[in-house]
Parts: sequence; C-alpha cells; structure tokens
Amino acid sequence: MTTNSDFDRHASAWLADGPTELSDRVLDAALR
Amino acid sequence: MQVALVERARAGDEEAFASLARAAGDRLLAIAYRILRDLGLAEDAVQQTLVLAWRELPSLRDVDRFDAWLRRLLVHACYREARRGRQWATNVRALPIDQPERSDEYNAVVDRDQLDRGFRRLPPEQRAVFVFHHYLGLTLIEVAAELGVPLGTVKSRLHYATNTLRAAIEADLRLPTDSSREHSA
Repeated sequence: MTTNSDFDRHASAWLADGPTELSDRVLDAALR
Repeated sequence: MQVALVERARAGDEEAFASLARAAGDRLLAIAYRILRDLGLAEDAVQQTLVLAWRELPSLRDVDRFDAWLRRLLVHACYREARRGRQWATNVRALPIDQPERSDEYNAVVDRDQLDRGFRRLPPEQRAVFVFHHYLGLTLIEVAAELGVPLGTVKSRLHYATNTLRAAIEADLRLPTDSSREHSA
C-alpha cells in the first residue's frame, strides 16, 4: 500500500523527468 | 516588460511575438510532453499553440493573463494531439526481470514505469489536471481557472487520475518476486 506522501513523491519525481527545451526547428516552423 | 511585448504583439508586431514565443517555448514543451508523454506530439502541440496564439492574440483582452491564456491554448492543442496519437491503451504488461530482492532503486524504476503506463491510460483531460497540479504546482482553484472548468470537475478528474495511478503502482507491488514464488512452490 502506498501512502499519500509516497505517491506524491513518486509522482513529482516522475513528472520532473523529461525534455525541457523546445528545439529551434519547432520554434522556427511556428514563427514562419 | 512582458506586458509591453504582449501589447506590441497584439498590435501585430511580429518581432515582439517572436520574443514572447522564444521565452515561452521551453515551458510549453515541458507541459505538453508531460501531458502527452511523446516528444513528437508535444512539439506538434506547441507549434499549433504558437500559430494559434499569433492569430488569436488580437482577441486577448487582459494582457496580464497572457501566460495563462497560452497554457489554455496549449492544453487544447494537447487534447487534439492526444486524440490524433491515440496510443494510450495497451494491454502489454512487462513482467519484472529476475531479481532476488527488490532494491529501492529497482522499485523506483518500476514505480516510474507503472506511473507511465497508468498515465497513458488516462484521458487527456485528467492528465492535464494532474500535470497542472503536480508539475506546475497550481492549487485546484487555480487549475479550474486556468482550464476554464468548474472546480468540482477538476477535483473529480484529479481523483480518478490519482486512483488510476495508485492502482497501477500497487498492482505492480503485488506481482510475485522470485523469492515469494519459491516459498509458495
């Protein structure tokens, strides 16, 4: 059984992972 | 500073809008990826958002709300991308590799894997609430205001999302390990 705080900790750590930088390619395509 | 840029962009200044887009791009991608869990779909959602923002900017009345307005456009772009991608539901389940005892590190990896699988099963509306609350750190009242939905709806979406994800983790914890299989043999 996971506690609320366990769950919040896992969820926060999991959400912290991932890309954080938009590529110039996408930005340029949007601004074209 | 940003307010002045928004006002200029709203009046049709392309350079001002490009500055705003550059400043917001990374944040938008981070949010979109966390909702969609797919980099290609997230990039498409951000691109759509920026294109739509430029087109719709003249209709933005409160320039102080630019960031929140942009995030709302992004969430709707994510909904569209989610429905286009439609890759959530999966019945494939990876069994744990042989592991005499589960270390904390192993459990953390499994938890993340289970969170990822559980999250992909959620409808995009529940994902957005979960990300806005747990990743952006917004209160439920703020989430409701940003997404333009009633507070009760936000609570309900978060409740279902949390239950689904907790169930995904707990289902994994119930999987037998090698040692428990040996004891029961």
